[in-house]
Amino acid sequence: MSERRTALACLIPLLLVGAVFFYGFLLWTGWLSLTRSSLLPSNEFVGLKQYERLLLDPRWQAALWNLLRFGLGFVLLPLLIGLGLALLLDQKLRGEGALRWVWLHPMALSMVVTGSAWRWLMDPEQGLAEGVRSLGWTSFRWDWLAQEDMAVYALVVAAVWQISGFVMAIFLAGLRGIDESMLQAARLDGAQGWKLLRRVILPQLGPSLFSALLVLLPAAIKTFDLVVVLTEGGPGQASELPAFYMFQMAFERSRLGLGAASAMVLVMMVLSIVLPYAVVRSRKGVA
Amino acid sequence: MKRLALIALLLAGSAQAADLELLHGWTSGSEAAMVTELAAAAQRGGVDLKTTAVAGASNANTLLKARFLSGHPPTLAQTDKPLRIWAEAVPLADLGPVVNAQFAALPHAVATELRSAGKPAAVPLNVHRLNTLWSNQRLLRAHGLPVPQGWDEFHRTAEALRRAGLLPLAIGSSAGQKLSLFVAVVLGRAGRDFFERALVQADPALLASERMTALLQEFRRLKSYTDTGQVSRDWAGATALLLQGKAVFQFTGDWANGEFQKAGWQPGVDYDCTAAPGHAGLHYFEFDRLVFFAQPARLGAQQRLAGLLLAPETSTRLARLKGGIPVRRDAGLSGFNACAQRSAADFRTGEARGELVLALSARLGESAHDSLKDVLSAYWASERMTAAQAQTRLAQALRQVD
Amino acid sequence: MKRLTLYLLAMLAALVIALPLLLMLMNSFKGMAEAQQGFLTLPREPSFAAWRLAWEKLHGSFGISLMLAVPAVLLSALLAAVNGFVLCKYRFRGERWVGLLLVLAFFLPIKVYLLPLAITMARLGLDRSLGLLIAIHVIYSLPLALFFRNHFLAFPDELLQAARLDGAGFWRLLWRVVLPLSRPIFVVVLILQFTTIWNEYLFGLVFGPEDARPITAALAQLSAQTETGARAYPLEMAAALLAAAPTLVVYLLAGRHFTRGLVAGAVKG
Repeated sequence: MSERRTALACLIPLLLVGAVFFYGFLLWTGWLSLTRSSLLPSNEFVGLKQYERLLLDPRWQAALWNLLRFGLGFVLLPLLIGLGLALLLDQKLRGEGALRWVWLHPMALSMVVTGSAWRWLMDPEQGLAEGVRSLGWTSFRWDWLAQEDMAVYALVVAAVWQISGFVMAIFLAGLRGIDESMLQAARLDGAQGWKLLRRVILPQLGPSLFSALLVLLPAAIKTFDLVVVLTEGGPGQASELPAFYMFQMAFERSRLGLGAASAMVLVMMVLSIVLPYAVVRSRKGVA
Repeated sequence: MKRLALIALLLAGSAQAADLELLHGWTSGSEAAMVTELAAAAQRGGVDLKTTAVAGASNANTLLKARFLSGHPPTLAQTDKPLRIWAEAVPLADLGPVVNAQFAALPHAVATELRSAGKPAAVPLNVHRLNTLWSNQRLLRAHGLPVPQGWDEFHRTAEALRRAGLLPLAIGSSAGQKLSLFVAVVLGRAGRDFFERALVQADPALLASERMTALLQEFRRLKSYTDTGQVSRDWAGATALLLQGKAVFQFTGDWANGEFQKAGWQPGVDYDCTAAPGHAGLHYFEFDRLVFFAQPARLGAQQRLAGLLLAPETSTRLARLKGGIPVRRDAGLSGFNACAQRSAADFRTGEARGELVLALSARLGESAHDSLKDVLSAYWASERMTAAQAQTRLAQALRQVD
Repeated sequence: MKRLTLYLLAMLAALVIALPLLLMLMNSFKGMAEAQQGFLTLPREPSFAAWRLAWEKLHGSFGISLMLAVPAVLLSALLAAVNGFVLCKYRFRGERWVGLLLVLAFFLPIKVYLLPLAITMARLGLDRSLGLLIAIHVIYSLPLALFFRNHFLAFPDELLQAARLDGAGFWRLLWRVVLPLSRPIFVVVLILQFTTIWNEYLFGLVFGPEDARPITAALAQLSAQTETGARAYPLEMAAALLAAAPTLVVYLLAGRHFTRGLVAGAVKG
């Protein structure tokens, strides 16, 4: 019994601290979103005014639409690329270790470094485009950073580059976890190449897909540093994402209440993805 | 109640030594040099001043807020927000009647921005002129073109330069630069009166007028003189284009002067600094300011520091390092190059005539100013937005209240 | 033939993915003036000047970041292991709720907590310091316990029973049995935490010690501190690579364990 007590004595205080720092602060932010806070927090209650302001702000609406476009690319592309790379790596090539490191290394970088590197690369006058032009294709242009419709996709490029390695690692783990005997049986049945992939391998990767989605979706919603460094939300406000909007409003623009409201909406968006998953898992008694 | 709690927090933090701390975002070359001189001046005057630099305006703001909330606010901070906003949020120091008296040497437009409830709470450092047209004289002479005096002439010159394969207008990515450009057009075409009534007072009739539509369209037309590379560069990168002989004009504040000087360029020979087209002697300016927060234990030191910073010689030295002009009417101008001298002359004449134009950043509320920048930078960036749409959004922006 | 195409594909992918860093590396060996001409040319006169300058400016914060990251990562991983184990093997009231809340907490954006953290600091009378920063990182790494919990679920209880019969108390159990068995997950958590903490900027700026900033803040300062207007690209690139070096090395050395750990079920559906 004393073993159990020691165990719980370790756990409980930490959980209490966690409850305060995660959820207590969340409640505080929620409270802030109901006040008139501008430069610093204030306690003047204004009801849902900040949310009203938020929903009516064309910049917020644009940020949400941008998030949709960004999210689509940020989720689908790494899944495809990650799967492809994992399948490639699973072929027992020589130099697997080096390859894996190269494919994985973008994950090691901070968003700031990633954003800076891609900003240089995507510079309309001096980046990769200039390199292509100097090779002979003189009319080539890559002006995404300057185009209001394409700037979001510039974000997608950099973000996909950074995260694909991680998704690859997840899929690789899934591939390595597939029962060898199942593969043998299928091969004996005459399945190979694409058929093997489609009929046997892919279905087994369900849990990996799930894990990848669980990582990708909230990450998309939380993307902030990249926007600051790569596009500054520009040109104009064409590549702003909700987390960027939240930060700008709360800190740069002295509109803490509005920033808090947008933060709460962001959190609700993240929770709406994760909550169903969490509830199901805790029902299963696993989580 | 809230203010009492804050005062208590501040008091708790100020129980120790009477050393002062300045939190600022002045990290680039000339800015950092100015801060070093500022600290030295404080030292000479017997004030123990520590300076904390934070790169990036939004990081500086974030840190400042966090410092306040965590009970360790700095004693003074660089700010670009109107004093009123600070006064509503935190208690400010009363720098005393001596400093107040020194304000007499400042232009009225500046002095009013430094007082809260009639008491001095902030100190101005440098005046920066925002309506300068910087021209690459070498290229203009090579093409036999003079510096344009009006906007029609500017367009003709720019077209000619473009045909010659040069980049007529160098600009960076910041929204503030778009705002300055727009103001340059408004003041140059429609004059000071229109500027005041339309943009500062937000007269709805003027904002909806055809004249405003035309101004916006002309503003947008200027984009055709710029390049796509502008999204990845800041104002200094744009000045660098002039220095490299690739671009001809730039509209930016007088801080560009420092860049030209460092490259060894001579005003009137290699580059020129005239007022924007159509501005004649108009001086559209902003000024750096330091806001002092209420910390009773340090009030004496704060007042002493404020007095030191307002002294004429300090005023001159700081302005010279940062590339602006001194804010004091009677400060000496030795060591300033021709461009700075011209700006100072225009400033003093303008003050005497009551024709100084204080920048929108200090005149408008924070929301209105920010929204204005947003509208203009969105309009500049967008292929789809029409002048009419921009006009509507402009009117909405200026109606915003904090 | 098929193998050849596979190798070619793999090399191509590697080249494309490595392109940004390779370009940064190449440009970091250029002189300041040469870099203005464009990013894609090879350096005419390669020099280490940018690297020397970058090291000079950053080596102090390098050390700070190490002093921050190493304790923070070790502490958070250890705590996560202990908590994961306890959550898994000991029943208590409300444990389902705890599990749920932990999963949710894992996905909350913690940047929003900047201001409430600052206020709490004030209430507790704490000063900005490395210790405070470490504590904050450790607290916000609580949800990592879930990784270990998932892993331990697969453990047969017999192992623990055997140890108990030998007279092991809680701590002995932990040290002798649990931790060694959790090695693969431990490595994954170490790697992920190190990356997160080493690359973290905002909290380091706000809660770290004044005069001793972590390397991320120093990097930002460097980018803003230009002597002339034009950006010193070689210096910035050398500095960014320097700042990224530790995490890159971590993935190089422990990459295999990373994938192994994932296989062991760190991230399972």
